[in-house]
Amino acid sequence: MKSSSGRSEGVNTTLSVPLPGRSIEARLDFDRLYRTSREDLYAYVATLLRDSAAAEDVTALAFERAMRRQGSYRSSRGSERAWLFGIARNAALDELRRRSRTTQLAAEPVDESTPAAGDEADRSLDRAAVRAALARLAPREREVIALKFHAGLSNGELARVLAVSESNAGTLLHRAMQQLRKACHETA
Amino acid sequence: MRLRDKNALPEDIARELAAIDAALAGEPVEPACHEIAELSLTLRDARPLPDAAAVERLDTRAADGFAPVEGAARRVTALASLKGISPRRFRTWGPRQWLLPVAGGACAVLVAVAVGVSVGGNGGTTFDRPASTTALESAQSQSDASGSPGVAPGAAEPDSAAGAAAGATARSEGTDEAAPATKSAPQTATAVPPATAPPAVGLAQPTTTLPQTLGTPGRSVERGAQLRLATSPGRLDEVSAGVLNVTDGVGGIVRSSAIDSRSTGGSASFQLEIPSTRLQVALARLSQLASVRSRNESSVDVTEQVTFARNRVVALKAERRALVRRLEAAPSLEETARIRERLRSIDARLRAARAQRASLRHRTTYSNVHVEIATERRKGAAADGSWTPDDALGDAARILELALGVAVVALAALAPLLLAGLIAWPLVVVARRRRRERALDASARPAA
Repeated sequence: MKSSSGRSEGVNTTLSVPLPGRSIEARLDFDRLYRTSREDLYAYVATLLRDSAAAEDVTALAFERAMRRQGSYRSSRGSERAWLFGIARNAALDELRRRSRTTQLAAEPVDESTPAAGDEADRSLDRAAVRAALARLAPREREVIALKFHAGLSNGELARVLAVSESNAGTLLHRAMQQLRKACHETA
Repeated sequence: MRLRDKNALPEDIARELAAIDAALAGEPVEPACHEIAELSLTLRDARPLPDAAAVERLDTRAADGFAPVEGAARRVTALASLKGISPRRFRTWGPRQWLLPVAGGACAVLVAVAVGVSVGGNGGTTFDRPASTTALESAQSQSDASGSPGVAPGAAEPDSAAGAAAGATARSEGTDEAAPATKSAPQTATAVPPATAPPAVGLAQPTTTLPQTLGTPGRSVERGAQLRLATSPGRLDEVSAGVLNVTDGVGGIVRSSAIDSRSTGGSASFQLEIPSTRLQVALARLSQLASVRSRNESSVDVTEQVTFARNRVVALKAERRALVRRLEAAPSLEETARIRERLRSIDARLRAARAQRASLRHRTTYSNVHVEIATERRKGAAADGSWTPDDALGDAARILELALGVAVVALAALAPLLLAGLIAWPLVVVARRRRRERALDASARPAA
């Protein structure tokens, strides 16, 4: 490339790099986030609340809050899902607080419907046992498991939602799994 | 020595977490972690899912922009249709978005009220700024009610004083011409405000701090004042008439006046005699007529002179009475003529003493006030004093200055609140988080 007069010649490609800033961050693809997170969010909230109707309302409330606060999302502070689940966690805890003030929570019974035959029957039995064991865990342990397995968050995202370090989140998950295994053995 | 990484997990935990992630990702897991992998997959399969109806309801609410409440949604839609805004866009305005315009509106109203009050209180944009009754005036009214500070009651002259005392004074006849004024050190208090001082300052603050003795009962004080006012050329006659009105209003006398009124300017000067008891009231009212350029006040304690004049009159009267008695008992014509000659001399001195006494009484009862009125034309102002674009610019600048001042004051008032809010905000966040965490702990259900 010749550069006789200080100008580039023969350049036929241009690199364009988006500048970091709010204008880029503000372009949160909310529709995509909703589509990819709808069921995960519901699963997490339902595990936390143990009430499908309330879970549906809180899920909607979380999406509403997230949509209203799109401008506050910063990609540098975590993924979209971690941000969304943080909002959902606050909404779910607010719901728990509200319900604790009004009436004692009456959790939905664990699904113990009649299993199907064969391998599917075994898996169904396993799921029922796991659900029963999960219901016996402490709320914090149940929440960690819900975030990891029901919501599908990575350990980093889980740490972000719980506002702890990633190693601390790993430790919490490890302890929750130990308790769950113990509860499963007791159930069996 | 190797430092241990604080964030590093124990090996067994790290291996278990890796197995979980591998199982969830569908990757092979080492045999030792087979159980945890199976459990992970079962947990994932056991997650609660919304039924089709719930998903449909969620999708509907998503399409509707997640309207928070039915009633509120209707109100928002109605309001949005009135304003021609898309309801969906309208709903995205949360509390923070509303905060800015509301706070801005409140600040604008605050500034407008402050400017309105200030401009209204100062009489608009005219050159002069009449003000309401000052604290000075009310203080003077109180002193009027309590008694005269100029000529104290104790200073009232007893013409019929005891003859013995008068006789004793009469014996010092040959030395009574020595004026006691030289013995009485005059006490003068003068304050000159800067020529550029704003008018309101001259109104609100007394410019003279009188010595303690001058205001105490039993003292005779001669007071004087000089006042320099400035006004626009078009208001010279009005201000001059105001000076006369104020003088009449306080029971004063206009000794002399000179008014030179021209279309391009002019000046006026007044020599007034104001009752000393009403001096401060008069000065306050005069200061309201126009912009005060300077205001001087002086006070001289003439108590000794007054006492001397009074005693001298009494002594001369006593001496005259004694001469009259001697005249009645005069043994010869020659003696009679001599006494008559002396009586004439005494009468002349008595008249002079009475005149001096009356003069002193007048000087302590009335204060001399000299008022000068000058005309000043502001740069760019019209010759007839009418309102010009330059005046408008000046007024606009003043209003902006005032608004800036109000903003600074408001900021100063709000700064502590903002600081307290900044300090309290993290505490509020922490407290809210703890309340939520407690709610999570409280949701624990007894084991079945």
